[in-house]
Amino acid sequence: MEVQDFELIQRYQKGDEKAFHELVRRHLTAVYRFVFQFCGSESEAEDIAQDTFVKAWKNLAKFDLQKNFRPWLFTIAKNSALDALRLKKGLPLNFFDNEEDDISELEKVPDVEPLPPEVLDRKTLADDLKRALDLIPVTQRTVLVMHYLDQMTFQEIADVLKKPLGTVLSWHRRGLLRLKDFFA
Amino acid sequence: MQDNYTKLLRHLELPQIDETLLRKVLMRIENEERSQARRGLVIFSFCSCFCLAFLVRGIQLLLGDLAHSNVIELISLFFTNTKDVLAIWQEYALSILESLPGTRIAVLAIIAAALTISCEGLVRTLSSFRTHGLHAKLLTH
Repeated sequence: MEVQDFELIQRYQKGDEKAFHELVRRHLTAVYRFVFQFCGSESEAEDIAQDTFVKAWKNLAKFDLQKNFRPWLFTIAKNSALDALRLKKGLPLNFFDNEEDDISELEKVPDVEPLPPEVLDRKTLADDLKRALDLIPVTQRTVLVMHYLDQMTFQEIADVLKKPLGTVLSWHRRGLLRLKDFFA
Repeated sequence: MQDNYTKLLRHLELPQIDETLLRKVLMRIENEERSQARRGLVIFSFCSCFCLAFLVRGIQLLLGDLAHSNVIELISLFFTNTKDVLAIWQEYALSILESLPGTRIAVLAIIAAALTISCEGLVRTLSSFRTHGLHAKLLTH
């Protein structure tokens, strides 16, 4: 059975450096893909992923084992990505607040219908999907990727993005609607 | 319904990580560890030298103070007139305490404590140098 993250952290806190090595190996791909959603450049994503793990290493000794490691790590990754983007592009401090994120908006967003099955049979599906996601705002795209590819719960995503659960659900539904519109 | 979208998003071709990225991350941590250790070495060495110099000077001053006080005479009195001293031991103990340079002893104790902490930090920093290269070594296994 695979060793849990908190066991690895416990081992690291007792002086086992190999345990941190395992944590990096386990989460590197997910962190890299996550930050790639923000910057869209492979070399930048590499730099930000490195920054993320250096920051995590610096703070892991005092990590509270009651908390979940993955959202904590992704929060560091998100902050590192935003810091890097702010330096590069002069991103506003309230980057995530620029989107429509009113919780009551969730009720205004209609339910999403399933995709027509033939969409999944398209030969150009991967390319189409990439183009569709490029048209979606970064917040909605991030929620979709975190939920469907990184298997994170909406609550975990809300914790990482420091947004209310309703906002994340609203972004998720809007993202799916845009995908649906694109493929319709 | 969500299964449908899960299937769709599985087709997303996300960039694959460079095989050297893991090594790069561990090397960055290694370098960070090294620079932290170097900083610690400079700070703890400086503090240790500083405390040691103060401690030596403090001991010299304390010995001078003790020579000028009557502590030595009072202590020798204990060996020459033990019986009489024991009869008035409370007054005797108070006299000794009064004749001791209390402030200087307290300052000296604080300097000694600071020196101990600095030396401990110095030893810890030096021993951390032994673990350098560990992340890189771990990668090869």
